[in-house]
Amino acid sequence: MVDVAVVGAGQTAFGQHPGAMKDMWSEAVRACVDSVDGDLRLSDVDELFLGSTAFGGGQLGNTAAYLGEHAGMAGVPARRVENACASSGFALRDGWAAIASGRADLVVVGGLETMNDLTPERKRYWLGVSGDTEWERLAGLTFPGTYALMARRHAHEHGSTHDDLVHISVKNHAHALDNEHAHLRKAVPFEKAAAGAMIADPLTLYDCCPTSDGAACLVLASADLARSLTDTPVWMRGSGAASDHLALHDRPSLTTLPATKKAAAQAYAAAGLGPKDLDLAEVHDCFTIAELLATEDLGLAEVGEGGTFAREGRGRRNEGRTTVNGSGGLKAKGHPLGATGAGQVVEVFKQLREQAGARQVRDAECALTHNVGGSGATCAVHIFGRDRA
Amino acid sequence: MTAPSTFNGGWLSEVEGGLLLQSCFRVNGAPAFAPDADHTTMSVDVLEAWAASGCPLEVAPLPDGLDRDVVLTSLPNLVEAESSTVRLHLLDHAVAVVDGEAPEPQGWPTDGTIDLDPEMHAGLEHAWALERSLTNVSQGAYVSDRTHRLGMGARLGLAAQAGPTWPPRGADVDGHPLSGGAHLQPSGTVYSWTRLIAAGAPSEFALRAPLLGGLTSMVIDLDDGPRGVFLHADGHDANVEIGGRVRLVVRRLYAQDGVLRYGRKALS
Repeated sequence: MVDVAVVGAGQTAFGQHPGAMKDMWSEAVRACVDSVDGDLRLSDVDELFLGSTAFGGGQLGNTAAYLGEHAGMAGVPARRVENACASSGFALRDGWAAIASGRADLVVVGGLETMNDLTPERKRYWLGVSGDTEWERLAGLTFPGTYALMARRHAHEHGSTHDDLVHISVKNHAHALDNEHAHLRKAVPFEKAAAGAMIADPLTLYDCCPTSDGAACLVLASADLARSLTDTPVWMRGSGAASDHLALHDRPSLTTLPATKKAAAQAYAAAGLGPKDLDLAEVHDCFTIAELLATEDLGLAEVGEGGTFAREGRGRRNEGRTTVNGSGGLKAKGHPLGATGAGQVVEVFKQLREQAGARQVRDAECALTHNVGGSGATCAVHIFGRDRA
Repeated sequence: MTAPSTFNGGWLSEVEGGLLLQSCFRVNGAPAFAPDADHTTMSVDVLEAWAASGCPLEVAPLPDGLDRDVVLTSLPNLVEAESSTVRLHLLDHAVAVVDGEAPEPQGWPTDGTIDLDPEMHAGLEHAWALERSLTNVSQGAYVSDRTHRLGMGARLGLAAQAGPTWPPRGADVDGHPLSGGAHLQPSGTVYSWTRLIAAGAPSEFALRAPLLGGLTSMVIDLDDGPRGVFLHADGHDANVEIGGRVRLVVRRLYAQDGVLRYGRKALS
């Protein structure tokens, strides 16, 4: 297989974006192209993979071709990759595979979502469309509800508490203070987060990510090409992906995401690395309980010890072995569904090139991204390093 | 006529030749249906009680005023026979099933009825009317009429596939077709639960969830093995805890494309 590197990465701010979908995407592409050290011509791109759920149905069909045209990639073979919130995590995997297989040398991977240009009534119809529609949705559940069911069960089986979840929220808000792209750049005291308005018992407002607009863009290159474009490529060391039942009631357990475990096992094996090698992990914390479960499923904490991991602050930037969501995570950086996976890689790209400014993780050499679709129906895990192998 | 006991969220009494099920809800002192109940749901309830008492589920043709498909699908052993002397009567916020020539039962004044706030009740009635309007068009997530009808056996009658596997799937974990299996018992144990504020409810419940003060959803370990997810029945106290016992009763779920859709809800 051909080794693959990330040679460029850029994004818009996540949050309330004033522009149209095509403007947001163009902004992310421009930021990405500007980050490439060498001379990159978009007309040389072999393939474009764009992750988006097409939330709201704005440009539901031929989304990638439409957006490619608006960002200087007219004529580049383009397709939309849809796997709910893991759309661009899977777009990344597709881009990696295209190069690793020798089919392409230069690939653009992106993600985009516009979520705040809908009326509240229309938005309500679209929230939760990636869950199990026939059974879970008609039992009153959108994603706050499904993750609340997990949180309650984890507390029942392992003794985790809501305070443990509050620690995650407080940490990620603190991390986001140093992120110029974050949707929520405000410190949240523990007492305030603990007393948040109830959303889906036991999850409160401060356990939930915001509804964000945003776009992110990456340039991947084969090893030979990467060296001509930059002296500091970020190498893709491992890629893993898995799917699982959409509905929670079809799974044996609510306290683990098997798709995360499978995807992580593949990525670790491919990289020849393990959780103890990670300096930084950008994990999918659409809800605080999702981060707690991710720390267990990725092997950063023992099974049942995710609450302790959070309580002891082991994921705080530059305090524990592995910084967890140094960007602020979905919780505070924001969660524009289709852009989230690519946005995680933008953060890793900067961290591994020591370009993360005030939020730089010290001596960051190895990082992981973890991108989940829905309540765990899909998951993509990638491992990156400064070193090629 | 005996003093009533509770069954499926209503008041059940023995009457001459049969059973009477009355709604335990009232508005301004007058009988009312539960927020998600009607004659269709109460007919299923009283016929389940009839079967539980050991009587065969063979009745004279069902009366007008209820959704026959829902009743027959919810009770897979129910047989309509012209020759049957067992008749279902739709009464004032009550239903009765009576064998022979016994007179139509009259209501029994019950204590402990649940008072519904009149404003809330009127709001819910209005919401149901709006929801049943053909202008109530879904966007985004959508369960088509065909999909809904194909799933009614599993949703209402708890029809399982071999295993038992429920809800139904296209194939087993190895990709082999699954054959039909038994009907599951409508009872189970709470595995996990949550209560959502109205704003977090799916759009199908957007009109009624604010009036109900939110929705309670549960993952239930069914007594026959599979696990399912259910709403709590509206209007009843949702004193839910992991390990708590529930019974699954037929209630209105929502309306779409002008049609009321029914399903099982949990009653703790």
